[in-house]
Amino acid sequence: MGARRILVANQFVSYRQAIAFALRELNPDVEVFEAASEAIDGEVARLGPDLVICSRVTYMVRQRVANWVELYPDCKPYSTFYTGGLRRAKEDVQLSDLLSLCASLP
Amino acid sequence: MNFLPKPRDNRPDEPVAARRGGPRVLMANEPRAYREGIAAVISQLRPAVEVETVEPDILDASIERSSPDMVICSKATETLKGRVRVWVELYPENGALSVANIGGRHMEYTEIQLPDLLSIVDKAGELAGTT
Repeated sequence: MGARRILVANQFVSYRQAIAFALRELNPDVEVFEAASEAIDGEVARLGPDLVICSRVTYMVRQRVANWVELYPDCKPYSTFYTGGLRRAKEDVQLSDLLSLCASLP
Repeated sequence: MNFLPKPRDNRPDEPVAARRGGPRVLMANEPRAYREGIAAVISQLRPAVEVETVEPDILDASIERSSPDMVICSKATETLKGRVRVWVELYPENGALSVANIGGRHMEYTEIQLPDLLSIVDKAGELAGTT
């Protein structure tokens, strides 16, 4: 099996860069890609990521990606995790939640 | 699990004497995972910097307590403007524009990036005389 691919496509650049940096530091065996939120669908088609972390999940992400996190949509404090076919809402997500998810991708 | 160096969070009782020699950066932006992510980046890439994360609602009290050299927050307060030489108001009102004050110099960033923040951290260190 090849390296797991994670696409980080949050709305604001510095936030996206910070999350991507943290994921790379903790998980050197995964490939972490960054994309502007407008480019998310094209990057999903191109990369076929195992996990997408974004500010607003798209129809294409829902259809094509096995695991995704809609992180703070509209900068609200709640987020949605979709992993292993299960969807759950989560409030006040911490960085450690994202790191744990990446380390245990189904 | 051994995560990135964990930023300190809400530890108001830590004695000031426990500080290291680098500049002190206080982070109070929200949402939380982004605050922690940027704190982790600064801790990793600027190991001499002392980074503390707090909830936004205790920003003023944290400034009073720890006299940081730099603050990153989502909403600049009067206490912040009056007491901290270097600060960044990161994505206020959830807009793309960010505002920084670097030793009295006003800066605006239409889409601030991590290297910009690290550069401002370095400036804070220079102004504080710690680098």
